[in-house]
Amino acid sequence: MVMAKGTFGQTLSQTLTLTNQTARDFAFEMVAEDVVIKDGKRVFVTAGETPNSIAASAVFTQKTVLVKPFSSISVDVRLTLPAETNIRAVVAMFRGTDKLPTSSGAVGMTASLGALITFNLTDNVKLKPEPVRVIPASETANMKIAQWISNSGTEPALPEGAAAVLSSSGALVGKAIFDPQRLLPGERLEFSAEYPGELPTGNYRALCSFQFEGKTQTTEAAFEIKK
Amino acid sequence: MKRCWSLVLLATACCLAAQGQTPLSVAYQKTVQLPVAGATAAYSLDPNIADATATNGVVEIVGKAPGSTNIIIVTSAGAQTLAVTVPVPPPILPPGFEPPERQGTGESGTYEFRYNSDPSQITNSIEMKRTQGQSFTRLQVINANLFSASGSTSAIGFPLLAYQISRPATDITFVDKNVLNSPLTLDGFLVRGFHMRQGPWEFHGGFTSIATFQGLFLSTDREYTAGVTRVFRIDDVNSLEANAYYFQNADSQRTFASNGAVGSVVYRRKLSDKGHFLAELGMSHGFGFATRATYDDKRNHLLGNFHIQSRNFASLAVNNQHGTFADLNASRKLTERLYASLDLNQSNYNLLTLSQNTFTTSSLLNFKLNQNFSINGGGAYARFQSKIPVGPAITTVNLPAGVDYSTRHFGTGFEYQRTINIEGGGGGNDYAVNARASAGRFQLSGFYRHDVQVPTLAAIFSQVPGLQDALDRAGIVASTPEQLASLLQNTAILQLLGFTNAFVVNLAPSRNDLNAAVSWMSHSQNRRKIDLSYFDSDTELLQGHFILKTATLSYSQRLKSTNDIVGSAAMVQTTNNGVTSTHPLFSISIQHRFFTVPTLLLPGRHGIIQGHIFRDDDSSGLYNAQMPTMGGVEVRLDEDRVTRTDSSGYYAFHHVPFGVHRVEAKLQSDEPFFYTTDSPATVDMNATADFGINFAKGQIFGFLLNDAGTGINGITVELKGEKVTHRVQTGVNGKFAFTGLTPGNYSVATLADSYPPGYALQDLAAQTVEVESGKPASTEFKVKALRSIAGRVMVYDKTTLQTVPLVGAVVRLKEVSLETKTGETKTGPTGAYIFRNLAAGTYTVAIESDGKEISRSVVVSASPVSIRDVDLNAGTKEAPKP
Repeated sequence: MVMAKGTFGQTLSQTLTLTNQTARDFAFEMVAEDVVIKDGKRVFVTAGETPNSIAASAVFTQKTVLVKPFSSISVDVRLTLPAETNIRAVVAMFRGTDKLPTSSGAVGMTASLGALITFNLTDNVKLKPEPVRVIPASETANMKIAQWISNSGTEPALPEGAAAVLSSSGALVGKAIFDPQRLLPGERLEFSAEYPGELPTGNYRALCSFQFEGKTQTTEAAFEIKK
Repeated sequence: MKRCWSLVLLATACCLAAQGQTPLSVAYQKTVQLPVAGATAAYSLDPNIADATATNGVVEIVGKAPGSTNIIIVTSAGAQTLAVTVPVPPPILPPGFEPPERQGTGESGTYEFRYNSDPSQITNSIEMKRTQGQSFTRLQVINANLFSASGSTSAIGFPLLAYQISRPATDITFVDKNVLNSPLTLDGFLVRGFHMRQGPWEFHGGFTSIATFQGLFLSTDREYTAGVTRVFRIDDVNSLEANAYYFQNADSQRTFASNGAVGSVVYRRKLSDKGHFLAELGMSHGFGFATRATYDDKRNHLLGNFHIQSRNFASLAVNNQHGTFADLNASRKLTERLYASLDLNQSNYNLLTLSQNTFTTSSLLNFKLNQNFSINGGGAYARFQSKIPVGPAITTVNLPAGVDYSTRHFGTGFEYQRTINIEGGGGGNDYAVNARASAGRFQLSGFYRHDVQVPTLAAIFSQVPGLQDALDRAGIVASTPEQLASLLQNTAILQLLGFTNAFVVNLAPSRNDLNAAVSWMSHSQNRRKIDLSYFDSDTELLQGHFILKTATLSYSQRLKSTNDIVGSAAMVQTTNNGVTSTHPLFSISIQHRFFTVPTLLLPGRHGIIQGHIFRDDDSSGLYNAQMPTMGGVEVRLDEDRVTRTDSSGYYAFHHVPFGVHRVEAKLQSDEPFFYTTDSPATVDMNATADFGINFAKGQIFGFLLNDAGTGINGITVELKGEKVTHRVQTGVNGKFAFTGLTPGNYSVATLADSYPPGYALQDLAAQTVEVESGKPASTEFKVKALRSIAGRVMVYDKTTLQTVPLVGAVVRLKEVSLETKTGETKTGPTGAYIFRNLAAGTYTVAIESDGKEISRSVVVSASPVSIRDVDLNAGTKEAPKP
């Protein structure tokens, strides 16, 4: 994952490296596709098929590569941001051109590996958090603190944060870290963190705090641990 | 009280963090404790960078790794955010090692010829500089005819001759240097001699014999100086300096400049990147003290000087500031709409031949009513008092108020001012109107101003030809007490050095100024500009009038990319108590910039940077000789040197100095394009930098689908344009694309021959698609797939004991409406039936026999299909009764 900050018309160069840790050759073609959000989910669109496509400007230093066994290969990709574009993410990938034999030898498959490159072009970063949900620990699972967040701005964001569990007196009794996930404009993802400890019976507050692009936001929810 | 301070501290820190200002800095592997009243918990949003805990109202933050994060502090009032930064720790290097640096390298130079007609002065100046990282070597030479106070003749001389070798720890300058050491020693004076800085030590020795005014070089008697400075660096922002200097002036200057030694201590503090502060305490024949501060951020501006020096304090004669002097210029944006400014100036000359007190102060508030209108108001106080030579004390108070209207192409303003003359007891009303407008390449502006009780310089006399006019014009232009005070301070040296007589400030009963100006500027690369202005000032003196009229025409133009020419012609007419004199003024300046310097003067290695600019329609990013090239494209080297590609797309920069350079292709095109190589590119000397250009072509993509919405694979699609014909085949999902298309209309059609059997081809038609630059166009073809269900209806004939066709039986497709009759047919003589033109889906074929329904379910696929043998058994046909 690459997060780039820039302006319209700017150029970004990125090196992609692929390591083959198997004993056979692999052939790939280098491809860039625009990433757009439809119905809250990511969709890859062929370069040039979206107005002001970023992927259409992709220039790879090699268009096809052959990765030898137990070796690595690096390819530079150069992307130019059009003067006006609503696209904020591109995937640059090694798209496999070999049919991989399966154990049964019946069906061949290809493999593709790539890097998601996102662009922040303005300061319009807005995240819309939904209510905090606390799922108490059970005999088979830890307590889970979760929150859905959607990106309502025009720029990608990489929220990272922590959840804190406070006692009724406000003292910190536990905390857990949310794994950072990248949110493209229009995308909605759930952030969750597990608290492995056991809480005694009582009333608590869960605080979910996130930082992204120089901003912070904290939301909280009260919950009760029953006998 | 402690609790209050804690809250204030936290609130301040949180507010600053919330505004994106100054996060709390916590050093790497260090702990900061912050008392926060009521804090019950604290946690970090990135514990890898910093961690936080709260105990007994004290928040403890530990810097764990370089970076930035936020700390959430929980109090009974809620959660607050504190931004924290852990700076990168400074590298620890072995003794004698320095961190590596990669700095820019370049050569530059300028030559200027300038001629002024009055006073007649020709100036030739040349500067050459070679930079490599933080080091540079520079040669500066100025040649001019110099004027002296003793007569009207001038002599050819070199007012500036300098050769400077500067390295990070060492700086050596031969001959001339403009020395900015400290306010009480050398403060911006040109010293001819030898100059050296080595680590914390700095030495300047030589003499000065040049003064300048309004761009004129004036020759003075030699004034000698030598001194040494030692810097003691306390930390990154604080330092102390110790100065020891000696000054020796000519006998003719002893009346206002004392010889002798000066010792001083200077404290300097750097206010981050926003300003600095300086204070100096010195001792000579008496004491001196000076302080200076600057500060600038988004809302505030501050520039302040204070200087006090006893009459016999040793100094160069050109340093005329013996007495008390203070300047303050401050402004603050109080809100988004309210802006305040304050100016203060005090000069208190205390010399044997000059004793003057000047004090002016003014403050102004400006309030923006909306996007176009703003109002302002304030007050000003000014006092001028000359004891040597004796002059009247003049004290005025001004109370201005005004309104401005401004749009993008038009603006106007009106200002009213009440002026009160304290000594004379009189006063009056001042007013001024101004207007400006712009249209296309023209700009117009003008103002009219009427002032009463105006402090004015009078009776200026100079022996140097032309200096008299320059002083007259400067005196007229100084229209406010602040400007007059500044002019007095700047011109005192002329008086002390004998170029003029003493200046006296008088109060003119009234003054009317009228100004009109028009300018035109081209948008082309040669930046041609023409200015025409007229200024008329009529000052009513106690006896008669002083009238100044000037009309000025100036022209400037860039000649190619390295030469500029600026010329002006003016007619000046002065009328003093009825005596009128008119004379012309001319000036011309020719400037030439060059980007290589002679190795003989500034030694260094040189090489070449070259390359091609080529069309890279396939975005290969690599140039080869078979590719089409682009001629006439501008290429820039280090933003200084400019060339264009020849007809073969080739360019070259010769005599490029050693080091890393920035090369950039600058294509001007209405058609969208992007570079397929880096532009700008960073290359070393003797490197090749090719630039690929891909014009962002349009494309057409689309799908060929059957009536069930399924893509049809392997069909040939043909695109026809004015000059091109392309064919592609559809993919598995029926998708096809034509790329690299120039803007225009294209005809797109599928070829009937390429369809497999089973499609209705009679309605295939071409579609017209419009393509724009860089924008995709899409289209879709739909073709009907032919699908049918056929079978027979059989019945067991008890007469013949055989299964025979049932003729005329009604067969229905239950899913098709009976009203349309399309879902119903009758069997033929062989009992056969058929349903054609079916959509994809599941059907039930049914017949009725003896009141019972007999049916079969059939699945019709999306692709063309003819389903046969969907036979139905209608049961038994009774034998005819005998």
